[in-house]
Amino acid sequence: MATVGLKCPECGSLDIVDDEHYSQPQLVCADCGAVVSEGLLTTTRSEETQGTDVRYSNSTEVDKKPCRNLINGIHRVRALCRILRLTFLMEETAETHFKQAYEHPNFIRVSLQKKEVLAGCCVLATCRQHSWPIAMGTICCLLEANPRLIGVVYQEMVKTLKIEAPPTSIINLLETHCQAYKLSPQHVHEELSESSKDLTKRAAVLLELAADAWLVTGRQPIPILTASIFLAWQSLKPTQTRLKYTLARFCQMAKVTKSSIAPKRVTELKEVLCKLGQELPWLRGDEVTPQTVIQMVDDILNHRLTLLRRALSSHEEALASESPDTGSVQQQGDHSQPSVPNSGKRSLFEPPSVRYAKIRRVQVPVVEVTGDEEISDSEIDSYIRTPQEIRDYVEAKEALASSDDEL
Amino acid sequence: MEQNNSLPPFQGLASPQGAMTPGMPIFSPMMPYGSGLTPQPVTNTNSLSLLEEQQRQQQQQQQASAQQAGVPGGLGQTPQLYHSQTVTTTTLPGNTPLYTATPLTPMTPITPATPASESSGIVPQLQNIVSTVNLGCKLDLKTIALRARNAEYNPKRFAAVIMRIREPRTTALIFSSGKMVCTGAKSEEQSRLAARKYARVVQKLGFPAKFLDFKIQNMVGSCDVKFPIRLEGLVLTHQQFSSYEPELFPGLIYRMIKPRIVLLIFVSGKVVLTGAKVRGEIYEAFENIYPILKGFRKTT
Repeated sequence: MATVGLKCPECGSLDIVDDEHYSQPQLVCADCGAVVSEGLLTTTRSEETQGTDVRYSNSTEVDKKPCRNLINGIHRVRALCRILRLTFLMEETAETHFKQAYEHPNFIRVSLQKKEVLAGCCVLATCRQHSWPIAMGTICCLLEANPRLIGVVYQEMVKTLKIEAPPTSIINLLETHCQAYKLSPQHVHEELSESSKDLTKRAAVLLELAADAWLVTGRQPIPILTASIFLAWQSLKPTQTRLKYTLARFCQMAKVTKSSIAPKRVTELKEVLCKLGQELPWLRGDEVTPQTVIQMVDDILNHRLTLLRRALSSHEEALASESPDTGSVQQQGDHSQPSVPNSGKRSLFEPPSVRYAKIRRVQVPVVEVTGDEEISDSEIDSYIRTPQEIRDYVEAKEALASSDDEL
Repeated sequence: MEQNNSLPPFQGLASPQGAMTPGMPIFSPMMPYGSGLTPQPVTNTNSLSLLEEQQRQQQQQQQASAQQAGVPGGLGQTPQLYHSQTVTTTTLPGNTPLYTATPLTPMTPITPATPASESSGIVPQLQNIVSTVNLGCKLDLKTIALRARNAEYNPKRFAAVIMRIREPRTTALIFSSGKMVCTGAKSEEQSRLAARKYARVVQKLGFPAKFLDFKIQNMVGSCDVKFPIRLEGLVLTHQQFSSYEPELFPGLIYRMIKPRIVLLIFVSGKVVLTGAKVRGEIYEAFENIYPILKGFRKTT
């Protein structure tokens, strides 16, 4: 019986059954064979996939055809590899990683957004495995995704697939970063142009100096790269035109996005250069300011090891003169095994987080308790409202609620 | 070498084929050390004196012979002239073959002879303890929020009452099932006392609260080694345990295997240890990491 009450118009019988004629559903009278009504011959794609008794994910077609998101993801991986001009081997590796990660239970049910980001993370991991320098910020720009999300997905992916992807060292990133700067003679004025090779070389030395002075560890790499390239550009030809350029204008000229952190790094790097520049013997003790130091960068970098040693020894002497009783011990400490520094003695270069340490909240002295002490009733009562308070509170809430209703 | 035809917002595009060699490697701890499994302290070549050079060469020779035998070196190998004995067959650098820890007391070294096994002298301070307890009865959160002074309850935001007491300064999340989470205490005993006070408050509000299955779930400690640390070097030699992504977080995340503790190591020398169930794990983890960190210290 298909539906109750349906009568065959030919013979009047109530025995109507569902009988499909190939793919066309029909209601047929069981006694005389007359077709009472019939459905559509064709079906839409969504009806086919959603109107079936067996769910698509449980059917065998899932095994035969990879799902659409997987195909899209693989296309995305390939597109990213082409944009970044990676080798064929790396493209294959990235694709393999993506397939493995996608089908892993950790990733098969995540949101589409995460699956998109997963493609970028696979490319990033492959680049790191093959020592191809690429920053996470690049993947961020390419995917236009939240850096935090990329970080989360990347770390989970590395853990799931158990791959070892050593992070890129900043000096390798410098070369690729430098090439984004459009400073060749065809792009800018002759006086302002600089070849990529010279720029990279000078910036690399500056970056090494910054790393020694603790300006690089623990911080975002891109701003410090920008800062070192800017200072390299200024110092390679320290003419007035170049010196007048601010970092923002430089980035605009070189067609690179500017960052808000890079100016701070420029200041810090100039401070370090000033400290070393102070030791140049032909200055005879003249002040070296951040404005005048650019012209001397050439000399500073050529003789930086000597200047470093001299700066260290003069710093030691300065400290020794401040504390004469411990002075003699520390003066000899220059060449022997590094002694444990007390918090009072400061070395010449320190990470900025140490130098400008946040003022900690005053620590409340820890009271020794056993955990099983008596709890006084009065203390507990202080946490409980009196009946009067409860009444007041309820009234106030009702008054607020009624005034809200009136509004 | 043609310029990349790149879109403006890119930074750091990959170079075309052939230009992959980096300029000059600044962090080159890979050279003298082989497998990276043995946690070797790394010295920077910039300001080495003659004495340190000698020690380093001797150490390398000893390592070469040790690696041939396939046994990892002892953990606390700071640039010393002697080679600490390899005691156990453990292959994980997170182990201290020289120490055995008792759960609740700070460790004392067994072999005080070699300076490498000397304890650091720094004790991590506990900063936060998270514990849970079952009050054993269903609770009406609206009543609790109405009748307690120190409670807040916003069911649209979170399905629990947030209660605070002044001494010990802690916060508790009380759920309608009767389970409670207590956070903010600075020691295990304080956490227990605080949990008992919350249970007493709930009792006074008229519920038959008990104090069942009190358990410490997590302990967080922190300390300062008082010297700056080269995180880039540490992540290269301890790759299996460390994760250092300066673009995401300024500290290095070190996942120690034994004991199972996560350490956040910062360039300033501050170390945060978390994930412990007992105090001894925090102390043990710090004693394990201290010799490794000492190897990455660089005085400029």
